[in-house]
Parts: sequence; C-alpha cells; structure tokens
Amino acid sequence: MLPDGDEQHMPRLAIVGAYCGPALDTHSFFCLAKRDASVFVYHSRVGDQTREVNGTLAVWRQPQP
Amino acid sequence: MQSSYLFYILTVMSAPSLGTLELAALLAVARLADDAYGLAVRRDLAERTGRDLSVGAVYTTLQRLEDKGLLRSHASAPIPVRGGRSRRHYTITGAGTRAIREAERHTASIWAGVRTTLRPKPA
Amino acid sequence: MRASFASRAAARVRARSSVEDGIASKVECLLEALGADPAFADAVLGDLTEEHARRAARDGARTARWWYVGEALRSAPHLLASAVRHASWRRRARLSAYIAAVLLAPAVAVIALFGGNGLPAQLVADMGSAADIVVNNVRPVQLAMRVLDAAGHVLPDTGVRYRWSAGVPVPVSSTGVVTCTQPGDATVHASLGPLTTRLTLRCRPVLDVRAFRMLNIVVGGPVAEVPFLAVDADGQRVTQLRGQITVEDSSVATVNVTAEGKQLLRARAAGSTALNVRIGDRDAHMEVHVYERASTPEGIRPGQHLAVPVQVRGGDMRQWRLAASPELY
Repeated sequence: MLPDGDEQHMPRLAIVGAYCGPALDTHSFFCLAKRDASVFVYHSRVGDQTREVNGTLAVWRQPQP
Repeated sequence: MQSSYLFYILTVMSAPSLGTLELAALLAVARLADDAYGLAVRRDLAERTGRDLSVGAVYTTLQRLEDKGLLRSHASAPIPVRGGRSRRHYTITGAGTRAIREAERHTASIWAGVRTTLRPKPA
Repeated sequence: MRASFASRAAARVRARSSVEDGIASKVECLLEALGADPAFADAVLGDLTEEHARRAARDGARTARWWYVGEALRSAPHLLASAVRHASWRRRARLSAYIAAVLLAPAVAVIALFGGNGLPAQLVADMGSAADIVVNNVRPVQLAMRVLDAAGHVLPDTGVRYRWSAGVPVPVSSTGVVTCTQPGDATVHASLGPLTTRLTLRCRPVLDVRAFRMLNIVVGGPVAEVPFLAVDADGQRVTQLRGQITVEDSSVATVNVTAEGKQLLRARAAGSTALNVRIGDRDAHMEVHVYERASTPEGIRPGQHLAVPVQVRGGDMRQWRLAASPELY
C-alpha cells in the first residue's frame, strides 16, 4: 500500500507479490517471493516537488536453502 | 521453498550533512561574495559567532566544504601585502546553495510547532 | 580482524619556538614538514602575513610577531589533520612515523641518558596511555603494567604492587584488581621496589552498549563510524572509552581506528558478516551487509547483494521486477 501523503517528505518503499515482515531494523524487511515480485520506490507530491532526493535501494537475495 | 529478499533504503539524502562550523563558514562565504577568502571568512565568523578560530581551522573547514563539492576556489594574482602570495577566493557551488536551503528548511522544520514565546528574538 | 581504540588522542606534540627574524620561513618549513598542500600552505601563509602587517600597524611589531607565532602554532594541528586526510597511504605512513618519532623521542632520550643493564627502570601502564587508564568495566578488572629496563626491553612482572591514594573511592587490591563502583577519577600508585608510578584511573563504567542490529554499507560508499552508544547506569552517554571492535570476516568489511580514536567501518566486498563491539565487559553484536553497486536489482542471483542508486522527485515512482526462484521440491 502506497501512502497518500507523506508528512516526512521521504521516499517510500513498497513490494508487491511477496510476503514481507520486519527485518532487524526499522528501514528494512525480509520478503518471501513465491512468484515474481515487484519493488516500488515512490516519492509523494507533498512538499517541494522539484527537489531531487538521492538514495540507495539495497537488495540482498538470500542463498537458496 | 523460494528465495527470500531483503530490501532496504540505505541513505536518503539531498545534500551532504553539515556541521555547525561548516554551515557558518558556508554562510560567511555566501555573505562575503567576491571578497570571500580565508582571512575575511575568519573575521566574519569571529564577529558573528564570537569564536576566535585559527587561520588553519578556517582553511581546513573551507577545504572540507570544497571536498564535499559545496565550495570551489581559485587563487588571485600575487598581492604585496601578503608577501607576494595570492589570496584563495571561495565561491559557492550549486550543491552549496542547495545545502544552505536544506539547512534552512531543516531548521524551520525543527522549530515548527514551538510556541512563539519560546523562540529566540531575531537579532 | 580486530581493532582496538581509545577515544582520546594518546598524546600531544609540544612545540617550543623562539621569536626571531625569519619566522615566516620557519613557519613555511613547518608547513612543508607537516606535508601541507603547497596551494593550501600558500593561502595560510598569505593570510598570516596580511594579518601580521595589519596588526603591526595597529598594535606594534612585537605584539604582531607574537600573534604570528601563536597563530602558526594554533594552526599546525589543523594543517597536520588536513595533510593526513589528503595524503596517499604511503605518505600517511610516513607522517605517522614522523609523529611517532616526535612523540617517542623524549622517552628514547631519557633511556639513552640513564641507560641501565636490564634492571627494571620504568613502569608503564599497559592499558590506555602511559599514565592514564580508562576503565569501562563494571566487574573487577586487573590493571596491567609493563616493566621495562632502561633500554626499553619488557621484563617479567615480578610483583608490581598497587594502592589507591586520592580521588573517587575505588577499591584497589594490592595486586591491582580494581572495581569501578562509580564514575570519577582516582589516583593510584603502582610500585616495584624503588620504582613508583602515579596513574590516573578514569573510572567510566559502561552498563550497556547500544547499537543497530543490522548495518548496511556499500562497496566504494562513504566510510562511516561504527554506530554504537555506550551508556552508564543512568542511561547517560559515556564518551571516554577503551574497547575492541571485531569483524568476523575481514574480506567483507574492516574497521580502522583513526588517530582521534574514531572507528571507521569500510566495505571491502559484497557479502554478510558480523561485527562485535566490546567495551569493558559489555558487548554489542551487529549483522553487517555489504552491497555492490548495480544499475538495477532485476536479475539478482541468490547470494548477491546489490545497491541501486535511486533518484526521485515529488510524484516519481520507480519499479523493478524480481523473479521468484524455482521450486526446489
């Protein structure tokens, strides 16, 4: 679910097509993809729209068990 | 069993982070415009912050800002009063201007919601 | 991989200078010795000269000259730090050797002057700097001293004795077992025969080391300090620390300790490892994930760690598709 607004003016992450749960810190989570999944990075229109925000999306794919 | 993934947004930043002295020096360069060189920045900082910084401290701060891409510098022609040495003049880059705006926005954000009676009176 | 650190610089270089003509050339030599960038040194010297001229006209030549010397000495540590920051690794090693030589020279001179024949000549604390011991332990801890002969060779400890003499009341046994029951500084005397050394025991008990459970860093990304917080019994931050940081797999990440005691975490190669921070008798354990830069996470293989730069403005959305792995069973 993507947020409608964003009071913190920070980009959000959403994952579709996977079961996700919290990981060891507040910014990350573990997901189980039983089929193809999609990851979205979304930045709301709230605030200064012209301001570019740079960040890094880090993905770690666990080895197969 | 399928692979599991870990997703993470590592850093979200619109500008390099600035220390208090770095921000003060950046603002001094902005104020001094064409006259922004080490000694002038030092005098400006002393007047505004009351801190008597050494020449070396001022230059290392300016150098750090240059390393972060917030300032650029060039040497002037040699000047007799400096023993024939040139002045190193500093100008603010686009990233420096954005960093100042970001710092102002950040300050406004942390003051937001604080009662006006608690706010410091403008000088 | 293990890195020890102390939160304060081990020592300070003391400089003495006489005021005489040609100060500028001496300062120039100092800047050169410190390895300052010539353009940087030129700017600093130019400023010193310009301000000196202004002060000489306003306050007189003598006052201005003293200002010049004082200002040059005040600037030296900053210039040294700048030189170290911008130097190559080889140059940094040379600078470190230079600093070490300056710091060790007095001790070497004393040993050379009062050289002996293998008899105990010096007691040196083996924890922290020579006469300053930081203890972060809550449980009793054994003080350690090194017994040196006049030539600086380490001799076996044949029974150093300890006693508390001043400061906060701290139980100190004669064999050197200390229990930091409260924060504060105490003076402790260590003696071996006629040799006596006065130590400042800085009790800074750490009750807890708080840290993120997971750290994510990128190969070639910024080097960051290991994020942890050591707190005392009141939950207040403890700043004077001695400890060790251990990284399980140094091919993935390493920790380097700077001269200022900062512990910098550097990503080496993509993968996962664990990091342990030990302060006194408390530990914090962190998972460290190191990612390699990539333009997209699509097509990521099992075991891979990828970091994808993302740039967005208000209203932007990026999407990547990630494949499920084939069923194993």
